[in-house]
Amino acid sequence: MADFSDYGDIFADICREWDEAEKDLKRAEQVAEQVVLPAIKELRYAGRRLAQAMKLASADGDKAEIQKLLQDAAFNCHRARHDAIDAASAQIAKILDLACEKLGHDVVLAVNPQFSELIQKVEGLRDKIVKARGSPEDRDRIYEIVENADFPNLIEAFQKFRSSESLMTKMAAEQRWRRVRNDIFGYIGILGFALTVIGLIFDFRKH
Amino acid sequence: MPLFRQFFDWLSVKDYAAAKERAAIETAARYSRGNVAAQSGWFLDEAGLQKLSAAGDRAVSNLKQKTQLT
Repeated sequence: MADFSDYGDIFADICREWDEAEKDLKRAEQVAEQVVLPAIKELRYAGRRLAQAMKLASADGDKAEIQKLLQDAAFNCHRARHDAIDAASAQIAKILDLACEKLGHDVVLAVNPQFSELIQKVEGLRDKIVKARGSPEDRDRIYEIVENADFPNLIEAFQKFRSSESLMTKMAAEQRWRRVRNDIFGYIGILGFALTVIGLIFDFRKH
Repeated sequence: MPLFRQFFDWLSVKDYAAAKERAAIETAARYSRGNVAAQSGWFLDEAGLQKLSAAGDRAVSNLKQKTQLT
């Protein structure tokens, strides 16, 4: 039977990292289903490393090699946590941009008075991510703060924004219909005016 | 995409949902390091998986019908 007693610490580390990754994934899933894919892939790689380590251990393989595989698995879980936060926050930033561009600032602000706070939250989180990438020694500490405070807060605020999306879409559709109707009436008016002017010119020439 | 369809998508604000979908695929591709298929946007999401599953079910029932006929 394979002996895993030498690897207790690293297994505990993997379990802790995996649990944290699961929590981040569950939050990221609320933004968009597709954005969790990079984190899931990292967990898949972690699973692969674990399977390889177990195979080696069951054949009394090289302990250093097993240790390295388990460390890789822990690192993959760690990356999954970062990927879930990075991808979800990037997607939130994109959705907020798209809402302003496609639905209009007036509609977004009318339905979401807290919109600027939401923007500040996402920008604050993105700034921290940039800072974490710039300083490898502080990276884990910054991500831990983000993971425990900024990210859950952002997801909560974004869920409120999302719950108002159907109302915003309806308002934007009404605005677009009104614009089309006004354009049509505008063109009919211009055409009518042009025909009247042409008619008057002909009438004037006759007399 | 035909122009009139684009116009009706704009009128019904379907363009917003489509843009969000595209953005999600771009985000997934951008953060998928080392995974070439995902980087090219080739992956199945829940909706795609359901579509594929429904198509598979239809194909199997068609096949069953055909084998019963012969």
